[in-house]
Amino acid sequence: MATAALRRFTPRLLVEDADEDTVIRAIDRYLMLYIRTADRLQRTAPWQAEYEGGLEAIREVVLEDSSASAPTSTPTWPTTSTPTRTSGRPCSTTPSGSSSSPAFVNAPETADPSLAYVEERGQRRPATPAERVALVGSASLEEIR
Amino acid sequence: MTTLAPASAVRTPVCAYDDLTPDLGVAALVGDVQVAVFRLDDGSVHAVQNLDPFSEAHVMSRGITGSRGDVPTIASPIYKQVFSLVTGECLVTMDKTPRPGHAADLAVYPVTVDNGQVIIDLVGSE
Repeated sequence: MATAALRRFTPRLLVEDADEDTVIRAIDRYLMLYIRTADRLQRTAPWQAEYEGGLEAIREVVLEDSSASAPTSTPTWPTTSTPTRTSGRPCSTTPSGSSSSPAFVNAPETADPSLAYVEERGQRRPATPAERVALVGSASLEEIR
Repeated sequence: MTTLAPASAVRTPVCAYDDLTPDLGVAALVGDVQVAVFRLDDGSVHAVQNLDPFSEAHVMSRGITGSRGDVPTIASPIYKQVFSLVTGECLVTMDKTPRPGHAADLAVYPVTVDNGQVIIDLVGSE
């Protein structure tokens, strides 16, 4: 879908004066209906515009359980409290605490001496090579041999 | 100190071998030199300079380990140059040249595991 083909859609009201539980349930059911019936890569607005029966039909499904094939009335959107982790590399295996990620494994109290910062307009930013000469004493930070 | 090493050798214990996570690197201070230490999946330990010659940042320990054929490699996290962990040779320059005053290749430091401790011997380095 080319970006140029996108056009603005006017927001349309699905429900008003709803209490919090109704809102959450409506969002859940709206998203699940969208996920189950939209075309691949179809955005919500075109999906809504092309939905058979229009917004009225969506409203019936989302708010009034009208369709047997509709999402169940219990929430199906995955709750965000389930922690995710990628396979392969472990997350930090060190217990969180004092120093989460020291610069040097054999000198946890020592900060990386090659890092130089300058304050500008009340914020810290990395020093330029020229400023670094004054701060660290070496522009190129060559490793000693 | 130790009787086995030559008088001039400086053996610097870095950390316990078990503290290293396979395929990840850590940075260590050996004197004033920053060294990147890697434990690979096969159990081997490698040490190269932590300074990335193409960006002048001390970040090699945060690079991604990999291989080119049988050669274990480390890729710079900045511009993605690939270096041999065995010889330090820069295998992929990404069409860039190192910053002035730097060789493209990394210095390699002899590293041994002794009694569960990872030890770097600076004198043996190039």
